[in-house]
Amino acid sequence: MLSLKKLPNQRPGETVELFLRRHWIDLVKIFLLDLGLCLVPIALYVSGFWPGSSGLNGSVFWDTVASLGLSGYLMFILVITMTELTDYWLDTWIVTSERIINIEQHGLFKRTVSELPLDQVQDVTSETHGFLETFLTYGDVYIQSAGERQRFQFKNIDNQDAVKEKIIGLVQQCKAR
Amino acid sequence: MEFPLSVLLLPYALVVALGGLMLFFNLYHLAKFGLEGGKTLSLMCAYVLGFLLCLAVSFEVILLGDWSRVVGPSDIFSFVAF
Repeated sequence: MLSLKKLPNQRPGETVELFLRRHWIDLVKIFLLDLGLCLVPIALYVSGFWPGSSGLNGSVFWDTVASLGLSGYLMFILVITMTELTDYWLDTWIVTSERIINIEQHGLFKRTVSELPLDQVQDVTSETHGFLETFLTYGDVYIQSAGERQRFQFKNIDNQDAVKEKIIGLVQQCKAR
Repeated sequence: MEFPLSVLLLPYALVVALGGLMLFFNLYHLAKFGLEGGKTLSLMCAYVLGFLLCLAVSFEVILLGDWSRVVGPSDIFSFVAF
């Protein structure tokens, strides 16, 4: 497991200043997806397409298929939820007094971990797009390094402006040393 | 062509096995890459509980069935007038 007290390649005197995850709105989206998936069998039953609700009444075979199918479908929803939650939980951004660590989980079997020393940070930008982002104060922070390296993106983080200011302050302190 | 209803449990068992495998993969990733602490452990416990709950619901459904019952074409195509 990752420990904030013992980061990989930890430097002497390095302290963790920010530990960030995506905004809780992403969890709401996951659960809304679950709700939608749960409503599908209900909609099928109400509309008469569910075995046992019409036409196939009294058929032991189709009742059994429907029951097992529903159980299998619940398992499918569970697997989707677990995978999305794991993706959310493992997407983290750590800003220390020395560097920025960008950890992104893409599904289950793809993971990207990048580090950027603070003294190589050239530009920090925060962006807010849309109604929800404005009122729930979350958005993206982009960190551009010197050179051709692709910029880091902190996706859907809470209080993106405050995070931007904090990082700029840390960069200035680092460069002043 | 007649067969016992219990044959339908085979594909269902495959689905449960795949679900168990995905549960293992998720737990593995959280254990290896998750942040040390109670929240990660709670999430792992929630995954296991969710899976067990799913299994419990399934078993309740399975216990209600008469799996030794034999079905044939007339049961499968009961919506067609013979």
